[in-house]
Amino acid sequence: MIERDLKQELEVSSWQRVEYTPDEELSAIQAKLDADPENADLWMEKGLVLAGSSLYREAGECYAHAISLAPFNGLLYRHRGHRFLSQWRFEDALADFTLASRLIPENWDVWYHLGLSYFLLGDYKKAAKAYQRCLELTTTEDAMIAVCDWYYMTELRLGDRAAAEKLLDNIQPDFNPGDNTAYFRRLLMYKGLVKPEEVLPKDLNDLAPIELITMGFGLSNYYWYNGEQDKSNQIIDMILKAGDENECYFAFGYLAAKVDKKNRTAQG
Amino acid sequence: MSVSKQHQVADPERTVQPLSEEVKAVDAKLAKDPDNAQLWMERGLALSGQSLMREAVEAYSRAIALDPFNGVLYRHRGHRHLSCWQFEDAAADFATAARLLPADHPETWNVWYHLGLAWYLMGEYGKAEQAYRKCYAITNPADLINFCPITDWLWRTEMRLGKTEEAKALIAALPADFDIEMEPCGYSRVCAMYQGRVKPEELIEGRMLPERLDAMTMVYALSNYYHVMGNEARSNELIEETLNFGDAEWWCAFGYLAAMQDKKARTAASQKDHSLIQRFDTAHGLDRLVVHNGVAWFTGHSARPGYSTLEEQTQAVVNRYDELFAQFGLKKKNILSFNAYLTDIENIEEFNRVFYPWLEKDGCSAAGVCVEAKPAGKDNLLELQLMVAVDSL
Repeated sequence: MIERDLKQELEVSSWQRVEYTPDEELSAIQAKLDADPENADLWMEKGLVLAGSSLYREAGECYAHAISLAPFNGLLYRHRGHRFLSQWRFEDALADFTLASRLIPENWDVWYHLGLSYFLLGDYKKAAKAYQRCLELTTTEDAMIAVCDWYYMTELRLGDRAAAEKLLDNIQPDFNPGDNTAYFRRLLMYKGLVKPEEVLPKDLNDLAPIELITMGFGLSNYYWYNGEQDKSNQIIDMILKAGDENECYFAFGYLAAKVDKKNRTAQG
Repeated sequence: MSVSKQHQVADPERTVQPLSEEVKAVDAKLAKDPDNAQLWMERGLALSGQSLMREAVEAYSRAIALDPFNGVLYRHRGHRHLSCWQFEDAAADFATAARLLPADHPETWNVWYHLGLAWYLMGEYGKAEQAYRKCYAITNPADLINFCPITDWLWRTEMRLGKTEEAKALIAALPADFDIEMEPCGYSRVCAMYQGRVKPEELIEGRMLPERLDAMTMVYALSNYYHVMGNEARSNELIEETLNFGDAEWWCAFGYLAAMQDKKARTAASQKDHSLIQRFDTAHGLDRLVVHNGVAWFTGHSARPGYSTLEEQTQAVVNRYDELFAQFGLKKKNILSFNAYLTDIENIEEFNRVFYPWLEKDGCSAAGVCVEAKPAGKDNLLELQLMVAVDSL
């Protein structure tokens, strides 16, 4: 027997669960499921409702249940993969998005999140490939903003500043960012239209935590690749503090900041 | 609703232990050939071999990302999802594997067997029966190493579905005089018990030893046997024995998983039957928990050794109550009252600093008493007892 000192609580999914009271929407979908429990679409709907209230573990379980009923429905892997990211299970997310990319290869979200999965796992070459495919599927300005931002950061991490700069040609200052205002501000900074010190407002309390985390990560990355590593690290710490204090532990900027902090700490 | 990441996310902390020589050998190959799905699978198998199941799941996921239609990868990952208590993900993986692998693939037997278990653990006995029947149909009765386990799990599933005739037929299909010790995980002894060749209480006699995996199989089998035979009290005792035995080392064993799920289901069910008096974790005349008429009464809890101040001890005790609430399916918002016994009432502020924020964190409150009294135990500064309404909205 190999000598080892395993701790059960580190090895298994937590026995403990978040307590919650179903709202009307959840109760309605549950009633449909009770009448039709082998319906994969209903399991997916239940997952979406739970995810809407940030119950990501529970949502993931619903998607898994749906997959057991319909194992070749790419949309189920797209949604479960997203929830794996929220649960900090990046390898599982990678597997789901990879399979989804084969089952529903024209789905923008699949390639976008596949790129993110590789990014979080530090495989920037593969992240770039995924983002490139995502870019090719992009048809709206807000989607262009999201993919170009992450793709830009990925190219910087690959050391290809020229490729990174070229991506910015896709972004115009008069774009309508939709929900992606934070990514848009980062891109405007990359384009030199906003100074780095102006990306974040003077009073950070003016920003919603998720905006702070999102803009902050782009800024941290920018400083790191422009030789200002201390500033980059300070912003990483600010992101993690904001995420921990405001339960934004699933925000992409928070996830990426956590990975950067771990890697930079390991490298000493 | 604000959802805490606690209980939602994979624990970033890992068991720190050296990797085996087998894992290191695979890693050396992976360093030269990182996009080799087969090597990632081998890594997963090697990690499983040293019980690093989370890491094994991650390795299989890496393999799937490289080879997403390889059914064998889902078979292995599903197995480790079971080990990590991720039963829905396990069912999804085995269902996928069942579609990807041809019927005569060497791993198909394992796929159906473990899919059956995943459904069983989720209480979906109808689906478990379907999967187990598919497994049974491709099992060679002369191969008792496989025939005994599938017979055992299918028997208990049929019994839970009330299909006693089908269950009897399974036992009739066993050879009459096989060597009852021939199967190392204990299933052959269990099957012999169903045949009447081993008395129930002899099944585990002298075998509950820490290093024995067959002990886990047999003690759970015995618990289930009493359950389906109508002796719920004895079944519950054996559930506790299974969990106590397996807690330190065998939390991946199928008997442990099944006992854990049975306990959860029975606790939830008993909370709906208010006429019963239910006692849990009884030892030497003291129950950890008694449930009656819609109220759960905890025995008083003090901190384990190692905490010196009242503040630290209070934190340790409320943390323990969090674990117990989860274990017994109780809700914090249903706390009715508390009795707090402090060695020195002058230090009450230390108690208050921890206890009330813990109570109020989820919008809870309670009626309570806090008095000076000397709890048992040399260094204990606090004993805390809670009373909780059961299944109340």
